[in-house]
Amino acid sequence: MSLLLEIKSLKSWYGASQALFDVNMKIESGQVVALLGRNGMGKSTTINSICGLMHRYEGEINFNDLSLVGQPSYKIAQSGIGLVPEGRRAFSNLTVLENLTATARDGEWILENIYELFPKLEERKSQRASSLSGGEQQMLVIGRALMTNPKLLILDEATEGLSPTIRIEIWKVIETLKSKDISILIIDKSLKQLLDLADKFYIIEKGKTIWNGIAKDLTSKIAQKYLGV
Amino acid sequence: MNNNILNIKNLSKSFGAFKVTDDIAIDLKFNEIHALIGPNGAGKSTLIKQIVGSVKHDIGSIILDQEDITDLTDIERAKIGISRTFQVSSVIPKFSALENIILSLLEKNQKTFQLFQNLQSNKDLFSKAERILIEIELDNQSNTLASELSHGDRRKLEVGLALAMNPKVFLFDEPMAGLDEAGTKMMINLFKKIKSQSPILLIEHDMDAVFALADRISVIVYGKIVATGTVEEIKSNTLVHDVYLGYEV
Repeated sequence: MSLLLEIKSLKSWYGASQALFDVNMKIESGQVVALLGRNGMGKSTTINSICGLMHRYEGEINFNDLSLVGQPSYKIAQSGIGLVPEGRRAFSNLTVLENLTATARDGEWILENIYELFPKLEERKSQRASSLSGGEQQMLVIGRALMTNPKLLILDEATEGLSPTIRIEIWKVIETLKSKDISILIIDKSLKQLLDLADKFYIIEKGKTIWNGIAKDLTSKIAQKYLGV
Repeated sequence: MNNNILNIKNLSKSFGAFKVTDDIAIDLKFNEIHALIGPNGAGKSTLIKQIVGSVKHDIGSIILDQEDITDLTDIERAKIGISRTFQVSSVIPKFSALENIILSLLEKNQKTFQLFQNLQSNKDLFSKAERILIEIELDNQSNTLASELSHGDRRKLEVGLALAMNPKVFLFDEPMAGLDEAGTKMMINLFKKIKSQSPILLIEHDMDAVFALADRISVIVYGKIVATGTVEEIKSNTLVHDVYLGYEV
């Protein structure tokens, strides 16, 4: 395995208030890494910093031998990071097909693969994204990110607000992606599923990564202390 | 005496040939949490929109506290006591958590905030808002702009806005979405406490929360209510397993 993403001493601010103080993380190619922490501890801010969506941040973010700090978000996307943001955020006025192709890049993931993964998207390819159900929109946003053929897929609360049956479906898709050796950084509140899936875990508290390890080291004592589980 | 605060009968709405709600009958009793579950796209949020009046239904009637509100506008319905939260957060991003709550309290009281007039009333307003922030465990984020709150904390704030409206019924649309384990526990305890003040119609996909909270559960599929019952009745309903739960409980 080779090092894909390395974050060192990351600090970020919203206006004058500092949200991240010292975030450190490594993701190897083909790994699934889970970022855990309670609400408001800095998980999404870390992702926003990786994707160039923060106005002010400093530290080192190296991706595939490229420094991402200070790069505009579109360049970061072009370098191979696909984001599935929390709250879905499909392009609501575009059709399913337009959503999938608007930001597509050459690679293994083409429309046929996405339709195979999510047959409902093919059924609804001419519908506007705004007319889709929540579960279908989530599938669309995952499909849209895969169509950019990312080297790293970031899933921020991808199962949030989904019915149990759709959640089961989305977890199966994530397992399929893992079996294809796609590198994934994932935030999700379902610790049970993450324990079965992720190769490595980072816990973030008050803007600092304070623990990392593998599933068997993530004891109930640690989960209770840092995650309130 | 009728022990329902909300009575909905024969409610239907179509978009073209597509029926989003189909002859819905659902009620909410005093002191009750009635959960509405169903697959994504089943019509749950559309039903909430019809209850608050932001989507007009084609036929049917809605009775709130023995008053027929079927022909009232969404603003009129809000004034007489229907308060909802949204699936996607709708707080005012440039205002602090405290200011968001104060605005909601002012809206309830139909007042304009005047800093140098009626100081005592403003003090009351602040202390009410602070009490609500304590209830939703956001008191340590009182001066944080809503745009800088985490996703989960914005969801809490949204419930705070509904509390400030002190409505006759609460309509909560996925209030647990984005909350961590501790936040969900807090919300469960809060809902248990406030249901005696105003009953709750709850849309939620977190089934642990639904099973912990609901006095009754209704299941909606393709715009139709297919089952209503207690937690145990719904847990043992095979149709509900097939169309929604997808796993044994």
